[in-house]
Amino acid sequence: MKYKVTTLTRVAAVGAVMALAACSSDKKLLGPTALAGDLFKSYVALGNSITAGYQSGGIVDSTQRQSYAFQLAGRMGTQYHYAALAKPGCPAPIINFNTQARPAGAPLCALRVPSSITDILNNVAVPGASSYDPTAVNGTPFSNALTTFILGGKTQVARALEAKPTFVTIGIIGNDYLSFAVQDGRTAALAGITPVATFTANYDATISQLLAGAPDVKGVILGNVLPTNVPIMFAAAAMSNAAFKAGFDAQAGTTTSLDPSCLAGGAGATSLINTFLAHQIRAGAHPPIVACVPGGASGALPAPIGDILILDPSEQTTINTIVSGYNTYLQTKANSIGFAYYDPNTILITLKAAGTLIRATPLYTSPTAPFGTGMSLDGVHPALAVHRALANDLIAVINAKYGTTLGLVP
Amino acid sequence: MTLHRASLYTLALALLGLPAAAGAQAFGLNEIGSCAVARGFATAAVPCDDASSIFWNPGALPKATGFSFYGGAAIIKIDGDFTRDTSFTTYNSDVPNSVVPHVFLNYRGAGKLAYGLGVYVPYGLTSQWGDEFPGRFSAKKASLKTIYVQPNVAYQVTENWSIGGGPIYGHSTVELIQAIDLAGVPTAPGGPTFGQLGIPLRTEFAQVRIKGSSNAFGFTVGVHGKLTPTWEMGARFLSQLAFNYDNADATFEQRPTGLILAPNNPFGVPGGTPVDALVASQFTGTGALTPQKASTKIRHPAQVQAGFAYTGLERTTVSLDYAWVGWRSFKQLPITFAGSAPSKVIEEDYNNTSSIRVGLEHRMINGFALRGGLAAAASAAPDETVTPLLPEMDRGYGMLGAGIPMGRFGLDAAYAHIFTSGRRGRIDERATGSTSAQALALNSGFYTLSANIFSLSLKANF
Repeated sequence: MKYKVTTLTRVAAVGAVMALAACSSDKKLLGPTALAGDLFKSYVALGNSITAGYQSGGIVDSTQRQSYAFQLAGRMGTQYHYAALAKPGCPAPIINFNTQARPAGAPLCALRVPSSITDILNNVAVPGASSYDPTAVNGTPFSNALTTFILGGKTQVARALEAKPTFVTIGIIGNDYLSFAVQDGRTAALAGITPVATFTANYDATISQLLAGAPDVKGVILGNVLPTNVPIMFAAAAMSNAAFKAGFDAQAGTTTSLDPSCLAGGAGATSLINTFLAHQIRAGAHPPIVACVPGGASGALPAPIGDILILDPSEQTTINTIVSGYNTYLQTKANSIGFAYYDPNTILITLKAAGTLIRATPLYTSPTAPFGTGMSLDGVHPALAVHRALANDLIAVINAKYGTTLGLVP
Repeated sequence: MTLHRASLYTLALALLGLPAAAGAQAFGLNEIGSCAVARGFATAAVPCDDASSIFWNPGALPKATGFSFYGGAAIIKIDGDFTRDTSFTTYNSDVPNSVVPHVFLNYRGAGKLAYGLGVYVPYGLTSQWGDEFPGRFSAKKASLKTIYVQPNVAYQVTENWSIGGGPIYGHSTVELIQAIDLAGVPTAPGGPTFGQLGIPLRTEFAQVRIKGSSNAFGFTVGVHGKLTPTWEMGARFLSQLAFNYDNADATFEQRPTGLILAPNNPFGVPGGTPVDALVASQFTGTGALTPQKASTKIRHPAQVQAGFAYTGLERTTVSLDYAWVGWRSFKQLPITFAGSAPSKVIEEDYNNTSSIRVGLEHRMINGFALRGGLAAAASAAPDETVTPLLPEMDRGYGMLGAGIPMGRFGLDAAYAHIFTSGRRGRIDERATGSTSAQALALNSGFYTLSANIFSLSLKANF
């Protein structure tokens, strides 16, 4: 009886609603909308590891939700679909800086979280992607398993356009030089760095495809980080500090020999040293000698001592010139298409100077926060706090460029 | 006189309280006779003066003796779309115009009996969407065409009361075209799905087409009576018919995905390998997606309609009907493949529905009839079952029509418009065993629907 009364009441209501509908052209709200305005109706983040939320040499749902892109979307009040990777990760992030251990029993990849398998993605960033990748239909040498796990056989630009983006951030930063300059560092390896002209052409193709598919899209282009500002690299002068060197040696598992090239007045006194040189020594992959120029002060040390995992002054000059060339182009490009440009180096320098979120030199005795409380254990990828700082910097840039009033991430 | 005033008062209340009258719900069709369409389907108490009373009230006898023929068709033009939350993209439906025929022949001799035969379409559906519609994995095309053949006998019990009814033979054809989503397909028996390895949701790698037919039997009965010289009542019952489409043909077509795997992919194939190459074997030899038989079941629900009509106004009939349809019988749509293609059950969970119908007919002195009607119908589908297969929603009808007498012949014409206010719905199928709340959470956009109906019928008495 209750059902019948309810149904009849509804039928009568239908009549009334129909009468109103016939007189009105208004549509009902179509589900969630961007709280911060139409500009952010559909936000898409293109990029690579930092944008994807890669941390500590791995990526998992929980780290993906710490990405600046995730936090930015939250302030926009817009939808955010990302290719969530199931616990413990793909691969699982390292949980101990000193031992480089990952969670016990972690598989190489725990696959996608089934509920995250969507057709539309708001974060199409792929760890490892370089400027070659966003438009490469057949992939590139930078492609890896995550390229498929996240994009599933399409390009970043293609997947971005499926979301009909109204606003994008483009953070294809670092991989055109980092793997050569930082994770290798040998002079010969620098030949693999993408030339500025090629980087420009690659980026032009990305922007061109993006704008062809979404002519009215707005956004921000992020600049590249200079090697000096990547926390994994520390100044050679730190090795002259006895306490620091003790920590280095403890990680190396032996008392290392410091070549005079690293000392004040030496040819490599201003070199940058990769933190993981200590791990390499411990693993027996590098002699227990720290030299700061190829061959050391004497020039007699066998290769790759003083070359691998070391950026000497002349290499730094080369890389800085290239990276500055990238960034000059990116800023010009952003201006030319009405996008904002954001240079992350400023905030990194500020945070490094403050020393809490990003340490100036690694703390080898800390297994969980060697690079600062805002950096992950790999020394390259930010953790939550630095992502938050990046998001807030971007919010300021966006508000200034587009006159919006996005609130800061608390 | 007192009764006449009371009648007018009742009539006024009815019209004020019922802004719209009822139409079809779900895959029901009420476009059975142009006169009935024009009168808002409110024809149980005073059926149209033609042979369509065989359907609208099988217990009503024709007014005139001899043969009465009534035949025609309704053309239904449906416009609808779906706007998706995630992309704000609107996808228009692609439904072809439908032609719904009806033919009736009735005979009344000098006695108390009338004999008739009706052929009509009380249930039918065509929903069709374009190739880009993201809900095509639920239904790219769904077509149901069911025709009822009804012999009928009506008997004059008393001067004011008559009853009637007859058996029904139903023949139904069904066609369902669905895209198949690679994301949900296991990469190997017991292995992860393609989606878990990154293949995007709604990657169409195949289309399945299921086409079959079935027969079923049922019955209908009706009663008609004159309560007073100015008030009449009528009621009809149409039984449920259960159609089992047991020997349907299922065919599969491979569709290009356009996906190309990058180097170092988790499938272990070289970079540049098209995903299509990985699944091609499914369509040949002993693959799961080769031609095979399939079956499904669709119950066509029972109907009850009852109404009153007032004829106290000069040459005018005002009708008010209530109709009930037992849509709760449409719980599931099972699709079972005889081969190795994965079978599934689409949960529908429809509710029984009510509708209210108001009709008006005024005869000019020259016999020309002017008709109008309103109808309101609550949707049968619950909030969690508003899907591409049938984006059901509350609907209202507005109707106009005319009857033109031409000697022993007559021509009826009607126009009806279906109003809706749209409804949120989903494009993804709910998981087996999922709760209503989980299914409701899949709603991801907004469906709209409107329709224009033109109906034309020819009447002949001889």
